Amino acid sequence: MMFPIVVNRGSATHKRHMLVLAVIVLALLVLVAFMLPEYQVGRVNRLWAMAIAIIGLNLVLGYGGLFALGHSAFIGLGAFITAWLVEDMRFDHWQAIPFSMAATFAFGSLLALPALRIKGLYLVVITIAVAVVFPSLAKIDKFGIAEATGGANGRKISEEVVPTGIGKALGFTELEAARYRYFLILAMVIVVVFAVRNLLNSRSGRAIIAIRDNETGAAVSGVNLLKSKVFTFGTSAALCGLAGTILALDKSFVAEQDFLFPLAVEMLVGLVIGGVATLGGAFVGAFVIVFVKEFSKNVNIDLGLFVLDGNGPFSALIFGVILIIVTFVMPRGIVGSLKPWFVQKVYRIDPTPPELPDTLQRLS
Amino acid sequence: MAQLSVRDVTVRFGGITALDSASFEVEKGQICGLIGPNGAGKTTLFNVVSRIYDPTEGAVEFEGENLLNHQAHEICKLGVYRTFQNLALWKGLTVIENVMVGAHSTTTAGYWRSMFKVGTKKEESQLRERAYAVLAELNLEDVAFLPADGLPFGTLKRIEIARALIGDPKLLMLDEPASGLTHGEVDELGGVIRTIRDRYNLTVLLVEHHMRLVMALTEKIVVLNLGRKIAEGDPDTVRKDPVVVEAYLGSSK
Repeated sequence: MMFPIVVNRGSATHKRHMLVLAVIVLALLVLVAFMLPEYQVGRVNRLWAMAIAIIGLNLVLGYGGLFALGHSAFIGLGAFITAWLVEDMRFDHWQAIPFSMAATFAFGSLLALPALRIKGLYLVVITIAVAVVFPSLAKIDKFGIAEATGGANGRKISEEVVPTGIGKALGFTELEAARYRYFLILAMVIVVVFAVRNLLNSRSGRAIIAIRDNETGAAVSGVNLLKSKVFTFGTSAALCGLAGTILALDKSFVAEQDFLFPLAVEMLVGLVIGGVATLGGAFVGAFVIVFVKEFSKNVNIDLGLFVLDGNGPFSALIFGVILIIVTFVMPRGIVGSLKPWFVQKVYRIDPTPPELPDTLQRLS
Repeated sequence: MAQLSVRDVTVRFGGITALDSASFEVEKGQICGLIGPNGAGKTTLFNVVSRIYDPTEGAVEFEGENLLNHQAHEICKLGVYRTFQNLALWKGLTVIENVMVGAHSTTTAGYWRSMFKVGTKKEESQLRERAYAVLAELNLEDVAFLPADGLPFGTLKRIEIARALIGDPKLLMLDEPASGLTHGEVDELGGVIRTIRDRYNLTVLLVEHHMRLVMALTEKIVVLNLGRKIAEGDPDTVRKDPVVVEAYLGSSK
């Protein structure tokens, strides 16, 4: 086979390749679920949730060009709403999703209003303020907030998500609840990826990118800046809300200390390491912040003078060094930097130009 | 009645008066030049008509509609499109995608429908075909799928014209379309503007410093100096107007 492989977009070959790719990826994902021990599956579930959240952040920051940095609050809001609906309102677990997403969408849209006038660093500060205040607000012992969120102690969701109905019929036992959840979450990840990809390749998605690259040009071409920014912020927040719901249901526990400002920073790290304004980057970034951080804790190198022990104060140092090296070697993120190489050497999709009308009259 | 009428428009930024009760009218189908030395207020006037600036005083009417009642993104629904002196293209999109955004107000696919591809497929493919045809008309189809970044300046200027044309404009405002072009390109541009005017039934409002182009192309010229209109008329009258000559070259005394 000759490299790079070149196909025309939308051609039969292209479609066949995509189908083969989808089958391979799905098979690998199923294999991963069954190869990993149960406790590791829980960690992959966290990876999925973080990937969805990073896609949300990417929508505002990477594609929208709006420097928002408070997305830990949206994840927390989604998680608390889920705990409250399931525990106090007796909702079925997954029924919480539309409500959690709708609430975070509304909350996120509100943040778009300052973003209309405030830009750059000032918007960063405002959104940081939201993220910093959020955990404290979740603990307030008034209006029944602390009862709903569990206050400082956190709140347990008394019934874990376990296999029922189809899950049971497929042979999942209660001991494999995390693995069962893995597949439910995976289904959601697939829907999110396709929805966001469709959006970005549409009239509305192009408008979002146009606002990022030149706001005035977008406005005079008919893009409603207010509407577009409200939608971008809202959708971004709703994806984080979904991530919050997934985290809450997977751990059966929510606590405000899980949604502190450093979580927002972690998401930003994941986004930048994976690649800003790339969809695949969200998964690479989520892998880095979930697994590489874990890995740096297991490092134990005897350097003679002292032992570089990942469990001690060096854990953060090792993680930090990894981040610095990646950013230096791949300044556009792992996916963003590898993509041009991949397109040039491995696989390229050429555009298929549309037919020109017979009546076309060219200008000199 | 005139298609575009600008009446007593004044724009002040702090203590600076960028436009001082400027008035003029453009007839349907006309190619009208807007000239004046640097700082005369030409681009400010463009920004008022395309609703980027709010005038301090005055009125702007297009086909009897008060433009000041509309926001910037609503202007193109009325058929008013423009290009920019320093380009306002989107570097993160390809050339054809740039042109497709130009038709934003004549297409309908919303956010939710786009996400789940509900009935957007046909509109999307028709839009792509139309954008490609407009690019081909301007001999730009070779760059259609390249990023709108790092192409020659003259090409980028043409892409901006294509982006405006796809939205079915009635009034096309061109802000210094000849700046940065080579001699040959300028001559070509004159032909392009005249042909698209005839083909698309356009009215053209043209800000331009390139006098040969302005004199050859326009049917009417409005001269601004320091925010005020100092002359108006057909190219020959304006060229000989002593006030205009003085504004450009200084007094002979």
